[in-house]
Amino acid sequence: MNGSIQELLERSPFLEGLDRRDLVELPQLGVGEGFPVRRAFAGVDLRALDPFVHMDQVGEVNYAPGEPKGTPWHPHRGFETVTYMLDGILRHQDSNGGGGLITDGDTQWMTAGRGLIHIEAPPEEVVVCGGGCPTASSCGSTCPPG
Amino acid sequence: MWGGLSHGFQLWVNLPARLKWSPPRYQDIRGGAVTLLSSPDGGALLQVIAGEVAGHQGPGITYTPIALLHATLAPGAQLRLPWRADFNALAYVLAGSGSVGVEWRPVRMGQLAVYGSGEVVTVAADTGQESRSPQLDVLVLGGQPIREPVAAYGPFVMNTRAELIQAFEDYQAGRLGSIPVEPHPGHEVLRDTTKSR
Repeated sequence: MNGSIQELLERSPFLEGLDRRDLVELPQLGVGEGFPVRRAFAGVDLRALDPFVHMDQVGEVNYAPGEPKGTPWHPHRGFETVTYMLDGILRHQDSNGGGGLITDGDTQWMTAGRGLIHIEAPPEEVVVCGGGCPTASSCGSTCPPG
Repeated sequence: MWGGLSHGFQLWVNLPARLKWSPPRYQDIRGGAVTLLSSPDGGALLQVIAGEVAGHQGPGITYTPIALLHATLAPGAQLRLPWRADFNALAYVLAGSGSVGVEWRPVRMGQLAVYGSGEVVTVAADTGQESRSPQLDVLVLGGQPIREPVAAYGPFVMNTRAELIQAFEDYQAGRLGSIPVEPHPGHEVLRDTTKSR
């Protein structure tokens, strides 16, 4: 059962509308809690951006334990998302059984094409330990002093 | 060392009408797999993520012609990057300060430069950089414009309003997929092969 688009938009920092007056009117929504997001293309005419439509810079931020946030399950159609992680780690999973980790310098080039739903979030151990984890593998049930 | 530090980008690349219905696909481009280039004097290091830059192909495959690279310039370094004349050209500053274009306009962290037409993209790093970001880091990207009408709303980028409405309806009806349900990891799954009584 999928929720309403509005609910989805309100909860998800990656999904904020593309603010261009010559297109469909888009809602002005706040940034997702715990996600410092910079709209890299804000105010630039779409014709100058074409073939790109939008870019978000997320961070840089140093999360404390319990702070890291991800997106809820959400759909895409008609384009591609290119996720480049300079620092940190992001886990993704989709409705086609795809999934994996994007970390330190990796790029995930995802063609949504005719459509899929997916989720993007830091792995559990990062959420639990925040900046206290020196490495992914060392972060178990207890966190080293951060 | 990553810990709780998080810093990333998400770029949305449009697809032309004829490719919007392509099947979903992933390319996992590992950090170590990018094509590395340097400027002639070694002052700029380029990581080509996708597309072709000056005859050097990055690992990422694109549907329409696109180039995406991460350039790192030492203080005082200049980069003259050959660029396809039919591409647009954008530079987003990740860290540091410098100048861009034929007029050497100043840019700093968090700013986007939109280049005019031409066959060379120029970036220069200021001689003095802040200690917290001693180099100039820039994402340089461009591609062949698609030049089709764009109807975008939330997570969908289509050509017409009718296609957007269809996307919403398809999503709400579960036709874009549903959240996979998986058994608890490490548990055997109870299979029901008998008749109910």
